[in-house]
Amino acid sequence: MSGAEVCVTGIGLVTPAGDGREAGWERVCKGLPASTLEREGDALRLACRVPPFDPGRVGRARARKPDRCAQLALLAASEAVADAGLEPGRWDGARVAVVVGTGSGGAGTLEAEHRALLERGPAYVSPFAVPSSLANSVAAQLAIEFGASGPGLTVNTACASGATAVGTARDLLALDRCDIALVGGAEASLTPYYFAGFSQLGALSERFEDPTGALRPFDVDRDGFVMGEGAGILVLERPADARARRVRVRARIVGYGASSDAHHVVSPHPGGVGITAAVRAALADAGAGAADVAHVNAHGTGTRRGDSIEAAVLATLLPHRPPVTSTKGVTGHLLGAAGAVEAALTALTVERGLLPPTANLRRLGPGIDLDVVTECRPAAPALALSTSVGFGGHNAVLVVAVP
Amino acid sequence: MLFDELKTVLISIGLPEEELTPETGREEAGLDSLAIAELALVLRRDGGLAVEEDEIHAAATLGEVAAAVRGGKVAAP
Repeated sequence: MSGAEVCVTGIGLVTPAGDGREAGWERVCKGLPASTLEREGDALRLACRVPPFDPGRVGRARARKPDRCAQLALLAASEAVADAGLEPGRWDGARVAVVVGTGSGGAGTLEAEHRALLERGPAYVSPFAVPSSLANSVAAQLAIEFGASGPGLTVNTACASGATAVGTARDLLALDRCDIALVGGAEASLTPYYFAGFSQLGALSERFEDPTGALRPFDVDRDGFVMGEGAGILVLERPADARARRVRVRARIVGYGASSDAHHVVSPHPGGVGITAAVRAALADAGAGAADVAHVNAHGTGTRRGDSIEAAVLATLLPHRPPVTSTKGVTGHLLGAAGAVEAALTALTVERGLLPPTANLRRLGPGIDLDVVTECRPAAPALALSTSVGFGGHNAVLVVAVP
Repeated sequence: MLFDELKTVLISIGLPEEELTPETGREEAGLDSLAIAELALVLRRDGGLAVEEDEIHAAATLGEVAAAVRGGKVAAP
């Protein structure tokens, strides 16, 4: 499998940084955080929401009752497919795979229908409750919408889901299970249950007095992440197929590494053994050395422990100190979508020769010895890493290279 | 139920507005078994109407669906 590379021929993004790939990229490069303060009764909360969109854009799929998570994925996938110059009506659907990473799937539907069950009774639960809330509903909606009748997969490695999906799709292409992969991540869990659950874990920033400054990756004053929603979808193809179609290639995925800490349900291993193993596996898979890494789009969620452990791992493995960015300072933490959105942003970084900044970083926290980018920086990284870490100890690392 | 009232409900459950006429075939409009169950739920929840899903299944056109719904009884609270 080592050395199996795939081309990124299409990218679609619907994130709090913008509705659409270019709007999102522009805001990420400007370093303008999308976090806002919300009131729910007496409680305050911080959230990064996708800008309002016309539900009519979801089109005929509306009749299939897609949860918001699937709606965001449908919008992102439409942009990605168009970006790749593909026409779903004219492709061999049996050779098109769909791989989606999501943490909670149709959480909004699940919670709303559960309320209906408790408040009104079983006769008032929608017949769409189950098909719209199952985690696989996102991949199913994409398959139906685009006539993608090849393998359909849903992967869940919590906050690493999006990156695991991209790596899994790369493997499917390498194994000739498909010719085209629609792959990415989607999450829409800005719901009472997830706000409460993450808050009770102590994972969320409580900097209510400074909403845009709340998520501070690697900063000395970081106090947790801000939950976000969104979707990122990539179109992946084998190099020979992309060449045959004479399509523009934005970047290549040349390596993938995955591991589990096998340590704790939420805390990363204090020695960073899992993320270390994943980075090493990804570089070996790419046939690259540590010194080849010219940029890292880090997981960097702004939690005290997570950022410290990741920074220590990167400083140890990459002693030449390549520039590091956490785009979560702008987008918020998109949970199961984060790894795919960040893979897409890393692809745009190598394509465009611009390193996006890490928003809200004023002073590096103690022990963080990294070159963290704080202003949009011109550079030409030929090879970059995108790291992702998920609850349960899941780690996924992608190696992204210039075309 | 008047056809226009039914049309409003059908739009609310996601059916494409431009294809909703009394002559439109039920299946052509996207009113499959899952959508019928959803329609019955919405009519019961929001309109207090108890409709027999079997009667809607038997309707060939949306006009016939409206007639079937018209025969619906007021649901017990």
